Amino acid sequence: MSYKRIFHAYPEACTGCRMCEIVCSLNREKTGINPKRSMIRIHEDSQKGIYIPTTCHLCNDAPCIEVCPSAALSKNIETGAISVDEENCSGCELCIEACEFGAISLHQDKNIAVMCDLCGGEPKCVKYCMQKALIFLKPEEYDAMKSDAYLEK
Amino acid sequence: MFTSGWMGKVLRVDLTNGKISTEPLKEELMLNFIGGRGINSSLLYSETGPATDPLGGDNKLIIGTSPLTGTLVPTSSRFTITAKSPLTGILGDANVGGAFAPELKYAGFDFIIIQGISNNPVYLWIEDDRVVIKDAAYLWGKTTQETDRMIKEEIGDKEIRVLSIGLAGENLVKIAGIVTGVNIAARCGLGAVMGSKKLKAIAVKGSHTINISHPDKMLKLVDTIFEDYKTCQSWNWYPKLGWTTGQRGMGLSGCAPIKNYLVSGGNDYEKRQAFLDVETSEKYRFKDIACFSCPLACNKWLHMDKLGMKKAPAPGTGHMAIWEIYDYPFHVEVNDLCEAYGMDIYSVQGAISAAMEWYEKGIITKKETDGMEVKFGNKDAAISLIHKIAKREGFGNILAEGPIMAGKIIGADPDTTPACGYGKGTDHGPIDCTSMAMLTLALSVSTRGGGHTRCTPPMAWWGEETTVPERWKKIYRNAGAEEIMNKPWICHPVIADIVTYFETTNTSADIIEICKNTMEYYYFYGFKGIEIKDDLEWHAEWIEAVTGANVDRQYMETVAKRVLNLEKAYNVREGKLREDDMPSHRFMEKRRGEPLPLDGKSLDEKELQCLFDAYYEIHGWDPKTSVPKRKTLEDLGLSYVADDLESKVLRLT
Repeated sequence: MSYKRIFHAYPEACTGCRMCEIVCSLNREKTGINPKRSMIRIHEDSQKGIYIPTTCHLCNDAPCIEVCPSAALSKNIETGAISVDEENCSGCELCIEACEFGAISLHQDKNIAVMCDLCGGEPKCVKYCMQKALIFLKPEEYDAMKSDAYLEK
Repeated sequence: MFTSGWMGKVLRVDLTNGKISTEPLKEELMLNFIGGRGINSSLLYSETGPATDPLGGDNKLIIGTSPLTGTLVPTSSRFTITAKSPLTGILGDANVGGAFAPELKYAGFDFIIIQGISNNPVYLWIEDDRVVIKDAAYLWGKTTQETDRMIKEEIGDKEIRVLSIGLAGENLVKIAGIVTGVNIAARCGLGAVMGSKKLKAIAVKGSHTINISHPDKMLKLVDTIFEDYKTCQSWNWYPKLGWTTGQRGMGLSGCAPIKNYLVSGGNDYEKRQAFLDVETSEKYRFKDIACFSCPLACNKWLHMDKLGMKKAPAPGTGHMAIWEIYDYPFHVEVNDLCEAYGMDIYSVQGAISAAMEWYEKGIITKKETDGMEVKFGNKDAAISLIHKIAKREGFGNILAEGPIMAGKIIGADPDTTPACGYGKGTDHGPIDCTSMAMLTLALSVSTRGGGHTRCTPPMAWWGEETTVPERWKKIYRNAGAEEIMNKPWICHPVIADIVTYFETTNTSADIIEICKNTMEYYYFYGFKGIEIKDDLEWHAEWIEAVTGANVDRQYMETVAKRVLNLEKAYNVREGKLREDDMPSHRFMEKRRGEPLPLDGKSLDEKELQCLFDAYYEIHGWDPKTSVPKRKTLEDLGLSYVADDLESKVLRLT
C-alpha cells in the first residue's frame, strides 16, 4: 500500500469560507496569511454557487514525480504526501504543468515548486473545515463512514 | 503598540482631480479607535461637518477594515462603509461581509477614503500598490451582478473582489446600497454617495500577507470558539433553517408587522408558518455559502422553478407580510431585484408599504401613482414600484427619497399615516418592537438611526421566560425586574443598563469587524464561551493575539464608548437632539389583541420616556437634550469634540 489515508474533497459541501486556505497559508508562512499562498485552493464561480476545493490528490503514479528532471519530488510511503526537495528543485515548472488538478504552485519568493505536505500527517485544512467538505481518513475509517451513510439511506 | 494585523496604509482617492495618494495609518487613530467603524467615524467627524452636502464632492466615502480582517478569526470578514448619509443627513454607515475586505488588506490597504466627484463614470482598480482609475462608461446602467462579472472579464481574473453600485446608486436613490458578491451594505443610502461621485465600482486583488503576532494563541482561541459553535443555537439553526432563523420568534412575539405596521403581527402566524419550515427550506435550497472565514454559512442559494438560481433573502426580511403578501418565490424575486439594483430591501419594504397605506386611505390617488392600484397585496404594483424607485421614474421618484421623506413630500400625517421608523429620519425593516421595551430603546438611540445590529439585548421572546439566557435571568432578578421576563413591554430601568451593555459590545464588534453571530448576540445564546469570558474580553484577546498589543476588557470598553460618544456628537453637531431619537408614534399604539402571547401588547409612552432618561443618565448625556456633557467627553479623551460642539452648536452642561 502506497499511502495510509484517504484525502477527499466534497465540492457540494464546500461553502467557500476559505478557512482551509487561511490556516494553510498561516501554517506555511508561519506568521503571514494570504489564501493565495495556500496549498489547498478553492476554485470558485460564485455567481453559479460553485466552489471546488483543490489540493494534491496523492496520486499513486504521480505524473509530477515522473516528470521532474532533477528528481526533487518524492513520495512519503508512510503518509502518501509528495514532498519537494528545496535544494534540488530548479523551479522549471514542469511538475506544475503535469499536475492535472492544479495542486502545485510556484513559491512567490523562493521560486521553487510547493505543494501540500499533509502538515506532517494531520492536515490543518481538514481540522478547520466545519462543513466536513474535507476528510482525511484511514481506508478502514473511510469504509466505515461510507457504510454508515449507506445504512442511513 | 500594534505591531501586526495592520497593513499600515490608507488609500486616498480624489476623483475630482484623479489624485491618488497613500497615507500611513496614524498610530493615534489605532490607539484611540482601533479600527473599522471606530476609525471610520473618527475620520468622518474630522473630515465632514454640517456644511457638507451628502451628495457633494466634500462628502467622504470611507471604507474601513480592522486588524482582524483577513485572518483566521472566525467571521472576521466584515467591513464598514461610512459617509454622511444622504437619507438622514447624519452619520451614515453600513456593515457588510463577503470577501472584499480581506482582499483589500492583502492588497496592502486598511482604509480607503474617496472624495471629490469624477466627470464621467469610473471604477477603481487596486492591485497591490498599483491603483488606477479606470473608465466605467460601459458599466454604467448595469446591475451589480453584471458589473461584478464584467470587471472580472475585463481584467481577466476570477479571483478579484468587486464592490459596486447598481442603477439605484447611479440615480442617487437615497435608499441605495453598495453590493459585494451576494452581500449588500444596505443602510443609510451610501450607494447614492458612491453614485454622486460617479464611482461605479472598486475592484481589488492582493498578494501581500497579513502578519500575526501570536499565531499559536490565535489558533487556540479559534479552537475554543469552534467547539462552542457546535453547541450554540445558531450552528443548529443556520444549516437547517438559514434564512428563516429568527422569524419564528418574531412572529410569536408580535414583532413581525403586517400592512405597514397597522397590525403588530402574530395573527398571521399560520400563513407565515409555511415559509419557516425546514421542508420549505429543503425544497428550494441547494447550496450554503459563507462569507470569508465564516464557518456558519448563513447565505443560501435557492433553485426556484421560474426564477432559476437565486439567493435566499436575509433572515431579517423573512416575509412580505408588511405588504400583506405571503408568497415565497415572490419574496425571493423582490430580494433579487433589490440586490441587482443595489437597494436596501428594508427601506423598499418601508416605502412601498407606506405608499400602500396612503393609497388605501386616499392620501394619494392613481394620479400620483401613475395609474397603479397601490393596494396591500398587489404584487404587480409592488414590483413595478421597485423598478420605478431604482430608475426614479414617476411616483418612484418620490419614494426614492426614502419612506420618511416621501411621507413629508406627499403630506402624510406622521402620527396617523406614517412611514415608520426609529428616529433620526431612518426607516426600519419589518421589525415591530411594540411589545419589546428593550428593543424599542435600542433601535431608537442607534447613532445611525434605527438599526437592530447596533444593539439587540436578550429579551423574553414571545413572553416566555425560557428564552432568556440564565446569565441574564440573574441580572433581571438582582435588579428586581422578574416581571419583564414574561412581560417584556414593561419599561423597567434595568433595561437601560442592559441596552447600554449590548450597545457597547456590538460597537466593539463593529470596531474589530467581526460578525455579530460570533457574539452573545440574539441568535447566539448557546455560546458557552461567554460563560468563561464576555464579548469584550474575547475581543481584547483577539486583538492581542493578532496585533500583539497589550489590551484588556477595560480598554475595549473605553474605545467602544469613545466611538459611541463621537458618533453621538456628530449627530448633535447636525442638530439632532433628544426628540429626534423618538420612534414613530405607531410603535407605541396598541394594535389588535389576537391569540398569540404578545400580540396587542404595547409599551407605555410615559414609561418609555423614563427609560430614555435613564439611558441618557447612564451615558453622561444631558437627559433634556441628549447632548453629551463636557466631562463625559473629556473623560474619554474627546475634549476636542467638546470644544468643537461648543464653538458650533451650544454650551455643554
